[in-house]
Amino acid sequence: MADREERRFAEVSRESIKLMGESAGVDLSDDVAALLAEDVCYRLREATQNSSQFMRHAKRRKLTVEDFNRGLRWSKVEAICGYGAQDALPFRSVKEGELFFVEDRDINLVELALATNIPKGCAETMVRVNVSYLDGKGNLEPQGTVPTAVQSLSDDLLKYYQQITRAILGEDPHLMKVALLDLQSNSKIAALLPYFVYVISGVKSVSHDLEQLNRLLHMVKSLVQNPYLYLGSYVRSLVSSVMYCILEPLAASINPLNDHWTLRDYAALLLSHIFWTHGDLVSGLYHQILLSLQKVLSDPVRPLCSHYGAVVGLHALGWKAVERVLFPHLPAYWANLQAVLDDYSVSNAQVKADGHKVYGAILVAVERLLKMKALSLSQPAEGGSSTQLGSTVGAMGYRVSSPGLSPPPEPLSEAALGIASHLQAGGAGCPWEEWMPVPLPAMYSELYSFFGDSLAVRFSTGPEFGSYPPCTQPQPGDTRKEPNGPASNSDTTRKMPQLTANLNISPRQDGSPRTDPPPPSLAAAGSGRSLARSSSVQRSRSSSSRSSQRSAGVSRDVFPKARFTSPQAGLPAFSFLIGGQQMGRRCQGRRPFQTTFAPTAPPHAIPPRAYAHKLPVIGRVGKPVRRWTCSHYSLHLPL
Amino acid sequence: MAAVQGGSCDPEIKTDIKTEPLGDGFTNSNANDGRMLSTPPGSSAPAASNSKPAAGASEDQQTLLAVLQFLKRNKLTESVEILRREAGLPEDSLDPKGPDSSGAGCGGAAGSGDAEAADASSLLSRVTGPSPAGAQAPSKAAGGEDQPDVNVVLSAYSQQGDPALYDVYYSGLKKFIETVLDCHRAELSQVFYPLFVHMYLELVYNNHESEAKAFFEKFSGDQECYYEEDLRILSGLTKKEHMRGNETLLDFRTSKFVLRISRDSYQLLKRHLQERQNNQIWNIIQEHLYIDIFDGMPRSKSQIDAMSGSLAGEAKREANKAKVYYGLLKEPEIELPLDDEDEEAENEEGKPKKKKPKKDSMGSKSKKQDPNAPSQSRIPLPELKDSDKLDKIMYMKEATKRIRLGPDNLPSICFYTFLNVYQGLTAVDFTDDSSMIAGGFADSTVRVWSVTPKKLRKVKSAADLNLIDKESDDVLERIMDDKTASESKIMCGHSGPVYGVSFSPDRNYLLSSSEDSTVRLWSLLTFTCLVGYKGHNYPVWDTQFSPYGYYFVSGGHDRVARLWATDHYQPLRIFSGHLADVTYTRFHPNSNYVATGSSDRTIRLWDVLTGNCVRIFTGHKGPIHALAFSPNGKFLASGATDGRVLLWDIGHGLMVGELKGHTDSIYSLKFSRDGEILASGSMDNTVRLWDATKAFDDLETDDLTAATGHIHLQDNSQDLLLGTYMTKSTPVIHLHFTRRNLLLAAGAYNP
Repeated sequence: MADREERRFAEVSRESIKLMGESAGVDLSDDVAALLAEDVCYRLREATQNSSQFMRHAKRRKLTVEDFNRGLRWSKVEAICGYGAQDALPFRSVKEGELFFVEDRDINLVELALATNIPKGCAETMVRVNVSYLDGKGNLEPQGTVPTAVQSLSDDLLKYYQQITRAILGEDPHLMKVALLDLQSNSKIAALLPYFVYVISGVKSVSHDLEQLNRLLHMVKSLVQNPYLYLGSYVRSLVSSVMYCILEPLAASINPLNDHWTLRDYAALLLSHIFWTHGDLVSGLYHQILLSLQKVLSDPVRPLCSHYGAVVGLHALGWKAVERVLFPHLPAYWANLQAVLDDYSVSNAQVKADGHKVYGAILVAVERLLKMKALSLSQPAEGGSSTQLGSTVGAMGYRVSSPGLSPPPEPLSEAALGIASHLQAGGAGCPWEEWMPVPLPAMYSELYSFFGDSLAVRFSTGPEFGSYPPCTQPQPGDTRKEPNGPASNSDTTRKMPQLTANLNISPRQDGSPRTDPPPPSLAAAGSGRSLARSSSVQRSRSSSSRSSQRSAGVSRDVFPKARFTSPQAGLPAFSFLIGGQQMGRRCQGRRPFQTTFAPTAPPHAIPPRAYAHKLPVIGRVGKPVRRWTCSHYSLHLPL
Repeated sequence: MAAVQGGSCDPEIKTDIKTEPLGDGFTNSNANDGRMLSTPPGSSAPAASNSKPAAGASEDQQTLLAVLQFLKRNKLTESVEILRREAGLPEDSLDPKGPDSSGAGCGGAAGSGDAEAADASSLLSRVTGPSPAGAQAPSKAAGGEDQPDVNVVLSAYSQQGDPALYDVYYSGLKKFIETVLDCHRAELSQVFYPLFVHMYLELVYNNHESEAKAFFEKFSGDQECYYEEDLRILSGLTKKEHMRGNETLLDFRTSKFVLRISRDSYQLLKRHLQERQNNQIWNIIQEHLYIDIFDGMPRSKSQIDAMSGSLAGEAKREANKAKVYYGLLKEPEIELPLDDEDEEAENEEGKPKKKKPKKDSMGSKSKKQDPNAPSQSRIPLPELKDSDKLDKIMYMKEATKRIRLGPDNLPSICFYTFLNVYQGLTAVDFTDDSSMIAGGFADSTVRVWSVTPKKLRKVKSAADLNLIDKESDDVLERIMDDKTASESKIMCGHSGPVYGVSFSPDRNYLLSSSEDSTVRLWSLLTFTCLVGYKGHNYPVWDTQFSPYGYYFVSGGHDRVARLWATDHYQPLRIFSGHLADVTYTRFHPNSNYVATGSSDRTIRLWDVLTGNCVRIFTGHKGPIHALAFSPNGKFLASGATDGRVLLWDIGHGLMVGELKGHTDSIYSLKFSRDGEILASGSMDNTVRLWDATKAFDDLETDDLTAATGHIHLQDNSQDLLLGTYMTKSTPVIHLHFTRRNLLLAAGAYNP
């Protein structure tokens, strides 16, 4: 009997009852305890049954503590306080006494009261509406199919298309933001994809207008980020549009006041994003991109801004790309660049400034190349043991560069699309076939010969490299400088103190890399500044790149406006406007009923309602989660 | 329910078995209660200690006398006086009759109808009668005179058989039933469950714990799967002490389990039991079961399964015999202005409409009086105000633009998602014109949102109101305070989760019912609470306004539904009869009837005028959480936690359809405006659309079916299912068709 009972219900044992009695100062005999235990079990079951109706009426599936307390209260039993927490309570045991209890920690109320991080209030409860099913068949247009040109668009879609393009290319920045966000989250626009791609291919016609180019690039980004769209072969077209922005000597760049550099940076970022997320859709895309970049780089006729774009693009594609294309090509290219930089004539001022840009870009790219390469070498030897910060950075680098580690062995002769189409294999740089990985020390020494100290400073302070020189491959003898680890090299001996400093710092850095100031002695040594900066390499990517840019500026003191965003982390480097989990979950697939509302009209600028009215017919009206609180548009639908 | 038992009741009920003094007491006492409570509005006597709105209808002297006696015993002399005066009884009528009535035992316990509302102890009091014979004993109203004792309640179980033999008895019967002809087997198998329960309880009551457990172990597996929930409760109950206050048990004990068995099958069973001298079982059958015997073919297993599952067996056929006026009331004739003269029409609307009897208008809705409709003044309905007429005109205009739905023309669905509610949304309602949405929340608040561009505004303060020109045409506009305009308003006042909300048809009021046992009436002009209706002593699970306003109904944990009028602080009617919580309440479109769903897995239809229960529908296997009347008033759809939708023909009192498909509790049902489509929303995060036209057209309403009440349901759910629409982890807890037949659904996003 007892077994059956135990299987069917949770049971409070006699011992527990006795223990509880003891704690209350009552000594219970076995019989009494047994009876009590049985009764307690029964009462618990009864209370649970009573409380379940409160759950049912609250239309929930989960029985809450509150439900249970309500059940108790209506049975004229005192409610149990203190168990309202959302998270599970830890249930612990004391081995000696075979005692089990719910851990009840003391809470320091003073601390709580004086805490500075006051939790924000919960988001406001609200109602949002969207049309989920139109005429009983919502969302039925198949996603991901490529619509043919003859496919007639419904009026709604057409209107949507017009509104969106008008908003994106129009004057109103708010409207543009809304349109972009919708484009990014709308699940029903597959039919419009070719049209949008066509609009984007219009980059060639607006190369004089940075603003428009920028908007089109944003449009690309939104499309790429839309989890409901299957881009398919349109990736090629999008890539070619983006490449145009990266590489072409845009009409806008004639005016030095135009900041086309930023556009190129952004486009490069976008390129890497497309590649990492959609690169598998088109075979051979990687090679085609690399080839086009290489071709531009090796073409001395092209203006420096194109070269800059090529470098940034390579950088964005990962350190492997830099190693394969930029590094072998560097000796040839260096001469040209050097010539530009050494020409101090007034007429050359502008070109020289451009040259400095390219120089900076190359510097950033090769630095990361060195760092990642060192990491990739040390990582296997290290066996993933380290708690060092380097390993986390390394892991990041690995993840990002993993597709690049094994570029698909595509034949290069295949006709490429768009800009890549006029490519031929084997430019001035190393042809693919002959490419051989260069060992790290050789690479380092070669690069050092180009960049000198501006490179070395950065390099030697990297904790990874400094920490693992013994693990790297034995140095080949034919390199010029024989950088036998920084310690053994005469050129780098003076950097020794930095290395030790880094060794001290790095273990602590994985907690909070920002907190450690460089040792004062180093600061006094003059290189303290750059050390401090380079120690922040482990900071967030953007800051690292910015700082490296700045330290490049220390040595060269030129690039005033350069704004690099390191693509070190490819995909995550984008800051999405819709963040958080809901977005992530929505990606799982087609969800007919919209329950999270993406952003729509920013409060003031546009007459929101008019806008919101037209959109729902097609799909979601988006508005990011955190902005729900300030929604001003109504729930109205034309009923 | 009050158990009014005893042979003396037999004459009243035409039981088919004349020889067996089978107890009754279910419908009968129920009817008694109903009649007793059917006081005309306003005449209910003020309640004293246990708040009994006792008043009499003269038709049942016995009941009346019993009530009087009860009141007297409780020293409610004032009430006695009032009642006597109202009923026109002579002063001395009570005394000589008193003992008689208690001896006769008729309606003795009727007075406890309201006592149900009191508390667990008065629940016990419903069953009284200390005689060991139990059932045959006259039951007296034991209201509050002495604390009811579990021994009294359970006295019927005191008969002592040899506990070891229970096993033998039961398996003997089982063996017998297994060997009878197939056609009888299904019918006789119905006996198993109630028999099993009662035998088990008897064992427990007589402290044969181990035997009881063995008995349960051995035979619980044989019971129908839809009794699983009850069996689980039962299995936890192994001690006599536990039986006190256990509601499930009380339900078993106090209500007779109703079985419908054909005469042949019944004779078979009877003969067997008598031959075997199996008195133990025979006693139980006589005392605790009500066997509704019919002539004709025995029913099949599927027929039985379709109708069983409720806490107390099937409904008796008598329970569903009363005439129900399910037709619609005639719409008042209102001139329908042409579209292009909107402005004018609305202005001239005010005055000419007062001459309502003017019949010359062509009246698009001038249909003949429905023969099945109740008379227009069967229950007094509020006069139409000018604004109501305007609204009716709007309604008609909208109706002309209504989309005709059908299998090929499904409605569009708009989903209203409640965000950031943290599992706290408990109830939703839309106004009829779909201009506002209200939500009831677990944090005791009621919130109203405007779903049109028109924001919600409060009326100006009294001081400001003095300043406005009361003669101006747009006075209604002027009284509103634009400074208060907002998209939503929060109304606080309840002290427990709000489980039901309902808009008044004129959109000026909102009702909310809460765990704090009150129903509150809110003004949507000031967004403040106007009245708190106290009457339920336990959580109020649901409330709804009458389609004509003024009246509303509420139902709660105290197992009764109450009918209220907004201007009365006490209920006008108490609908008592459910064996468990009243979970859902809905008004019939003609406002003359109220349907209630309950956790006892039955649906009852109550006559608002008389307070009688006129229909009992059994067949659900779980608590009912959704009801919907078809727009023509002929049909009722019900949804329960078992995930099934059942369709009922109100006029015939028959189940006419079963819609299977949902995989979780159904929380909302709605017919489209013309009744072609039935939409159901569920915890399984889907909205399903069903072809209601087809479901009701296919009916075989031949007289035989109507007479016997045996239904043959074909399993055509798949044919009737027109569509399944997923939400994103959002349980659908409310559905609403706009006047143009757009389907609105609402629920809280549940991440």
